[in-house]
Amino acid sequence: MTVHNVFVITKNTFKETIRDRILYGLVAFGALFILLDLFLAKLSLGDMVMIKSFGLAGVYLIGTIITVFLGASIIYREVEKRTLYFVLSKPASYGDVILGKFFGLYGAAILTVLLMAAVYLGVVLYQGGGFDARGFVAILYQLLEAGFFVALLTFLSAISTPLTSTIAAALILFSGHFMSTAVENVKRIGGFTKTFIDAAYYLLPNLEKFNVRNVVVHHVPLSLEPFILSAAYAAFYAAVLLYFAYAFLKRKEL
Amino acid sequence: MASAAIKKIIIIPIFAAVVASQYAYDRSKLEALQIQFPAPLQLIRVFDLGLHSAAASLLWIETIVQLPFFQRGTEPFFNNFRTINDLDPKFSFPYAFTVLVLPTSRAYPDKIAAAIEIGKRGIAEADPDWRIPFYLAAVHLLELKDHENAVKYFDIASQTVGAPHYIKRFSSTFVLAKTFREQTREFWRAVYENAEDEQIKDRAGAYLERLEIFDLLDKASGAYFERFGSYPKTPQDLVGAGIISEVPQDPFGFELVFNDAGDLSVQ
Repeated sequence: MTVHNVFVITKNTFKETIRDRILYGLVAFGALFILLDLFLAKLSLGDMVMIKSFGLAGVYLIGTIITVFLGASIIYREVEKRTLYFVLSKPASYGDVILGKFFGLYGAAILTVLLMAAVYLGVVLYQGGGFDARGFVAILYQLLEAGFFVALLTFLSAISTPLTSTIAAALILFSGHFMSTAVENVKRIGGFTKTFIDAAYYLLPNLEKFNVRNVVVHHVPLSLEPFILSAAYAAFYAAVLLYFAYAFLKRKEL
Repeated sequence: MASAAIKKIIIIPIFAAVVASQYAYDRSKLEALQIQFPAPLQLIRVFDLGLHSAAASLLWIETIVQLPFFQRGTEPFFNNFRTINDLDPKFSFPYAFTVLVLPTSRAYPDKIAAAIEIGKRGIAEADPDWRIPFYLAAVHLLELKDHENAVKYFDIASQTVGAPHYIKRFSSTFVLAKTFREQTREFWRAVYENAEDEQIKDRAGAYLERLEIFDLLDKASGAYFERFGSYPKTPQDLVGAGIISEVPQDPFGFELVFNDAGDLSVQ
């Protein structure tokens, strides 16, 4: 595995991804969705909590859809089109491919989220809310989640079809946000159910730790520690998923 | 060429048919479809992907239109209001708006008690928002003629982070109005004597001091009127006329002025 190979694959994946016309459509839709905040501002009599929570929700939802859309076939497509055989015939390892694909796709996901974030920050500024630094912190957390999600999709697309990957990613997205609530609720039940849910809570992805959107729209103080811990969680989980993607791809013996 | 033109012409009636069918559907829509179900909190929590604040905002947009007429009855409104509070307890706008609008409703007999209860909860739980205590003060003053609580909530509004300057000024002027001055003095004296918190005690002391200043300046302004036939414009005029030796300093740092009728206010 060489840094040069990873860099070349990253660059090509990034270029290929951002050339996708459907991506432009989705980003434009996302920007339009966030601009709808201007209409909402009239309905909410200029209430900043509503404007910010809708804007951040728009950046998150469209950003996640784009990530799933781009990532669901990232490895599968290469295998189906036989382009992966060509890459592997060069002096590039399976590890180079997995890491290159991951970083290329993550770069594209970061770019699209930042584009929508710029629209969001512009809307808040226009509405008299100033530069929403706390909102930007929420975007940074979202980028951590996007990193995890890109790794998950790289893994899923290495082992299954795009449709299956998309469905699995959607289920993990919902369960990942629901897990914290489930743990709270199951305390009242106790017994085996509690043990089972607790185990699932620690093993399955917990995406609520990347969600500070409900906090940043209010005057709740933020600290650096949760951000560092969330970044570590995302990095470790992504490493595990990328390792499994590598192992599955290698087992296919292309 | 001709077939292309025919296609273009045909598309217009087809599109008109789409609009007509939508119109016909709306006209014949079943009543049952319009029944509103209360938004189940747990279901929202599962499907909102952690976007509780955005979900609360969305639900509030649907709920806000029910005020003040309660076309669907009061229960759906208060159910939604509870769900909004559960989803995002710090979301202050619903509290402020409800305290402002609910007292004007003719459809809800317990509107004043409900508005006060919601306002108090908003002050305790939501983000600091001057509108909640300000509107609550207005409810106490206008609906209940309860000057004591009005003073209390106007003061909370003026101290809330982010309160505009004119709100601070209004609140300060209100609590010193001649009509209510003795009641106000009693209120702040009670606060001063009973406060355990030093900050509250200091603030009550400052209000009492300011009331003394207002009494002094009112008396001096009366003397000025007797001498010159018109009221002074500023306390400085009283010093110039030799009625008082110096302009007393407002404990909150505001500038004091007289209007044409000789009433004092803060600027």
